This record gives sequence, structure tokens and C-alpha cells, in this order.
Amino acid sequence: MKIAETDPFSFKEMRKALFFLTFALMVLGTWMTFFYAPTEVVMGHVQRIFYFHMGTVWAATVAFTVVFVASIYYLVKETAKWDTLAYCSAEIGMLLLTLTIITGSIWAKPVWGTWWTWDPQLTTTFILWVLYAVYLLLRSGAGGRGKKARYSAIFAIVAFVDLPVVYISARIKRGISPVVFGPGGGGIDPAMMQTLLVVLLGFTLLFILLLRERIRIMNMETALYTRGR
Amino acid sequence: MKAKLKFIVPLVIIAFLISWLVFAGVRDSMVYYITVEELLEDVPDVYGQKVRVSGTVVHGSIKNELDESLQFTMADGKEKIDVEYDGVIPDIFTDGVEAVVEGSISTDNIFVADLLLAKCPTKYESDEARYQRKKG
Repeated sequence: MKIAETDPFSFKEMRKALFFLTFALMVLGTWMTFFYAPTEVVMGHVQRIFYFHMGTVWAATVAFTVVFVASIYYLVKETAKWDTLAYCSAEIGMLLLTLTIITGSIWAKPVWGTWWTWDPQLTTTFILWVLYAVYLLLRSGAGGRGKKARYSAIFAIVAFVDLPVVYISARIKRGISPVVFGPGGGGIDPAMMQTLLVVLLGFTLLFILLLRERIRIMNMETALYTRGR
Repeated sequence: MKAKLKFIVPLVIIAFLISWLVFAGVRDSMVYYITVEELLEDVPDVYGQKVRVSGTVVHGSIKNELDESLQFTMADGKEKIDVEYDGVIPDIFTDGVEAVVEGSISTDNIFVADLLLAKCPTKYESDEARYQRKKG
């Protein structure tokens, strides 16, 4: 009893710690977005949506990478936990990618002058969104776990191919999406970079938090279903 | 394990094939916009065709008309073209911005745009940094 009380790494404590750390980083990131990061000289205050836009697309990238790796593991090991991980991660990734598209649209309207245009990066992002929408549809269809999980895993592995294409497309193709980072990019102000890094870390933790909670719910559902029979 | 390999190896090959097809398709066929030079090379075939063209807004060329329509000159370093536009103007549209216009070129070599877009900067700067850079 005493050991359990003092053990700092019990599940409950970990969960609490992760929750508060995520909350603190998200608050700090939001504060930095509005009060610490300088106002961009050309685009003005609307550019501040950049931090949220990058945060969501980064976490979506992590989520879909988890789906990819978990799907490979599922095909090799065929244990249910990898299938659960892939599915839960895909759901959260889909939510994050949708937010990315919405925030991008809100940003594009005043700056570019349109909500949407078929530029290579936007087109490949749209394809990515459709691919994972199909994946989630595949999952929601009828049928037992075995076959469905296997087909979904294969689909997820193939769909993942589009993810690097999204990132490369703006560099190798003519488009309207800016290349800001890396070779050929314009770069950002140091204070903007610090803000971005805090936001990215916050979103990474938020993803982990959501993923753990989603898996917990999924396992409860499975347990209930099994007991009900 | 051997059965699984039989399953995974073709899968990986299929994934690579699809990625190559997507990559090659994106690389070769689809061009989001043409340059002013490429547009003028296609004259007269391009008259009346709907195209998307990009170029830099020439300094001092923007004229706002009384009926709120807009005229400006767009250049790509080699060639330039006059553009006429009547519609919503992006917030960051000004001298020196890279613009993207959708519309068609008329026989008097004026580009009549139905849509005007502005490319955002690839360098995100603060006021302070720009001031220091211009001063130094």
C-alpha cells in the first residue's frame, strides 16, 4: 500500500502529469502566439495562425506515422493492440488534418485572396485527407476484426506514401504555398521560431494524451462487448 | 514467417509503384501556373484560353480606377504583361509582390483576370528585423 502511494510512475500519476504538462504547454504556446511572437511585417496579425496551423499539421504527421508503423506491426505480429493503436491514431490524425485545412483556409483568404486553390501542396493534402477518410470508413464497415483489420492495415501502409509527397510538393513544384523552412526557404524570426517550437511540443503532448485516452476508451468498449456476449 | 514475407514483399513493391506513379504524375503533367514568358510564347494559340499565370508586380504600375477595377503590370524578369482585374484584392497585394492571376489574354495582349491571388512571403520577419536589415 505504501509503495503504491509513493510510486511516482503509477498509471494514474502519469496520466495526471501528462495532462497538466500538456495543459501548461498549450497555454504557454497560445500566450506566446499572441504576446511573445512579433507581428509579421507583410501579413500582419493574421500570420499568427501559422503556429496553430503548423502545430496541427505536425501532430497529424506524427499520428499518420504511428498509423503506418502500427499497421506494419499488426501485419507481422497480428496482435489486436497494434490494430487498436493504428485505428485510434488515425482518428486523431484525421481531426488534426481537418483543423490544418480549416486554419490554412482562414489564413489563405485574406493573404492569398482565396479560401482554396488547387496548388500542388493543397491538392496532395486534400488527397491525404480523402485517403484517411476512406481508411476510417473501411474501419466502420461491418465484419469481424480479423479481415477488416488486415485490409485496413494494408490500406494504411499504402496511403502513407502520400504524406512525404505533401511535404516535397511545395519544393519541387510551382505553387502558391510558401517554402519557409530548410534549403530554399526564407526562414523565420528567432522569436517566431521559439514560439513555434513550444507550440509543436505542446501539440505533440496533446496528441499523446488524446491517443492514450482514446485507446483506453477503445479497450473499455472491447471489454464491455466481450462481456456482453 | 515465410508466408508473411510472401505477403509483405509484394505489398512494399505495390506501395513503391503507387508512390512512383503519384510522383511522376505530379512532376510531369500538372503545372499550377505558367510564367509570363511561357504565356507570351503561346501567343496567338493561347488567345481566349483560360490560364493561370504568375509574375512579380512591377513597381509603380498599379492603377486603381474610379470604378474600383485595377490595372497593373506583371513581369517575370524577361517578359511583362498588363493585367486588368475587377474583384477582391488580397490584403498583401502591392508593388513587388508575386501575383498569380487566372483569366485569359485578349488579342490586344492585355490579360483579363477573373481571379487575383498573391503569394505570401517565404521569409517571416518582424518589423524590427526588417528595419535593422534595411538600415544595415
